[in-house]
Amino acid sequence: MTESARRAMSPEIDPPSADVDAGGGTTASVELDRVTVSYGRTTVLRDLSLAVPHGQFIALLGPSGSGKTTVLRTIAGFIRPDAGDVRLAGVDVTERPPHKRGIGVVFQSYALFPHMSVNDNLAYPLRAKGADKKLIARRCADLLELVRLPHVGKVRPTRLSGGQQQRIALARALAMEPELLLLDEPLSNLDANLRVDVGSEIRRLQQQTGTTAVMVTHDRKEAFAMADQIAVLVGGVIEQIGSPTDLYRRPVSRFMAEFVGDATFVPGTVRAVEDGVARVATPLGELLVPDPVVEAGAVDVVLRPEDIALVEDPARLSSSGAWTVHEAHVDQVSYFGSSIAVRASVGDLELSAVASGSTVALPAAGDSVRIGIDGSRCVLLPGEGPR
Amino acid sequence: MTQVATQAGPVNAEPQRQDDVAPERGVRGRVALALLVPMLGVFAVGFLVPLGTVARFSFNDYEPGVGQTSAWTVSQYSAVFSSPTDSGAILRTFELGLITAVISALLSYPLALAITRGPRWARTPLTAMVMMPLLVSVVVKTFGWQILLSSEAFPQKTLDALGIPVKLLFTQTGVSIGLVHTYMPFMALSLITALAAIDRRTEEAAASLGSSRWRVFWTITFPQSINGLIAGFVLTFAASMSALVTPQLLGGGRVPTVVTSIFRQVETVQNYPYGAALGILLLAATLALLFVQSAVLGRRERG
Repeated sequence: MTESARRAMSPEIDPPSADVDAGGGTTASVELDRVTVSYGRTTVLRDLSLAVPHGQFIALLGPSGSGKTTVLRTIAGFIRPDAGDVRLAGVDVTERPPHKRGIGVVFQSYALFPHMSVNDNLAYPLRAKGADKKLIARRCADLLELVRLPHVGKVRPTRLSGGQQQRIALARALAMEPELLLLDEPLSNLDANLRVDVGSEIRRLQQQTGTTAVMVTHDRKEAFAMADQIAVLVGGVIEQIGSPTDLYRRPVSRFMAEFVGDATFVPGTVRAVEDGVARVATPLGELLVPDPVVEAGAVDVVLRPEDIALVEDPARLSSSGAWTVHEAHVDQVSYFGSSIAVRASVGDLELSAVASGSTVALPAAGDSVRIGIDGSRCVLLPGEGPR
Repeated sequence: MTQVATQAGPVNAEPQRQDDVAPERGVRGRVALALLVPMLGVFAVGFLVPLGTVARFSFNDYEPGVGQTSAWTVSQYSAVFSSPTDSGAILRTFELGLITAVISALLSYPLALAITRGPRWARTPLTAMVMMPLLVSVVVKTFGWQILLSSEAFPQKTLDALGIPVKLLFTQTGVSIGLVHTYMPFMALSLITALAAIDRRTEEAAASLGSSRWRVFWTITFPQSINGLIAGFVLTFAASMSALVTPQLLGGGRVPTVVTSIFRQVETVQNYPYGAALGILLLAATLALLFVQSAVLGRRERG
């Protein structure tokens, strides 16, 4: 880190642990408490509650119309909720206008002021606070250094590329060292290869400055790559909230299982639960699935593609799992270089599997292959049972 | 031999690719030109030729009783500037244009803000209000104003009752009112276009960066609308400078402008060279205005 980048970092913001320790309790950086928002007769958010711990990066992920942007705009103060409270660091700000909330906002369209130079854009919040000229000039230089664009201060933002504009927008949002940064689809207007760069830039700055961040996105990969926690919104309600691993490995519903990745659902029936391991009868034979939650009855077993192994030699399956091996018919093979996707069927059951691209004997459509399923990596959902 | 062939390959490929593109562009250019011909014809016959004729007339001589005689003299121009009525008319024309533009701007800005930023239900009625004057003939509107501004109507009676020594009809005040009513839509429409084009997120960003509504307006909204304001200003200014019906009917001969003078010279006195000289001066003023506008806009673009 350069000296000026260090200076640009907030001196006031303590490491997250300090805030947690204060007063013995944990104060969320931002908290929505049973918030309801409607536009006319349409209810967009329904009794939504959400708490983001200090210093965390949380992604609000959902399809368009799920209300995720409304959550962000409510936190920013652009929307006043019909019911419920918004709290920042424990303080109720529901009635406070946006300009008194001290939140940094980064927009999809960058929202840089086109009639001002980059420096004037960065200086804008500082002038609003009446900072003196010398301080503003130094801070602008530091901010440009922070987003690694030290030489663009005098140009108009419209002269910059999309990626550069978004980095300037980010720098401007961080100018007042906000406790909280809101990002509304910050990468959607960028080219595919720029997204990764700007995305990791955002993550780097968020961690470097210790700012709490809430990002809205419809892109699962973005959310998974950047966030500590992901809240999936559907129809104005949080369907599931958790770490990326939680969402992928422990989906709470069929919708969630499919929303966060490819999945095959195998209908089954729990015969017994012993020591937290369920014995599930399925068309693929009996699977031993560790699941502390489920009770006896109909379930769906969620199989991720990478949990279905193409078995070249059954003896080489790792001994740690609970493997069952089946003869399968290959329907389709897609080769991606680093990986291959295989659609195969066992009887009536269609499965999608993924294997390493370095697999020696690539299967072809029409082949017979042996596939192995590790029950210990499966997830059970309450289901309709065998059909 | 083989080596030469392989080297020649890519070199040859280059011009061939350009050949594929070049005629395409040429055809497009010709089609575009062909489509422009009717418009250019109308422009030449309907504008350039008459303008040339008028310009030529302005250098002719005029003898009362005889009429126009061919000459190359600037006597008409010097006559305009030595006539107190007509040099006064030039100043008054500028004044009326300026007043109309300024008042139109002051009235239109809040209206345009309400239409672009206000509640949805207000949009249609307000837009209709802006458009309505454009749909009614200037003559009809002006006769309406004649009645409304007359000494028997309530606005004048109210002024009299309050002891305010302002007369409405056949005064510059009345002409200004009529001009504002007629030309304000141009201002309002260019402001609406400019305000609607502003990314609302820039205003939200400014608010999130600590600016009150007032500061957001003056630092973000207003500066981004200035181009529209300038365009509306030039439109209303130029249009009211060249207005005839309104100053004629609401001025009643007591508020001469360049255009009413031209009208009188051509229709009554039949001094075509003098009228032509007035017309050329008016055109020069309008062109100067457009020049200033493009200079200002150009500076804003570069700045």
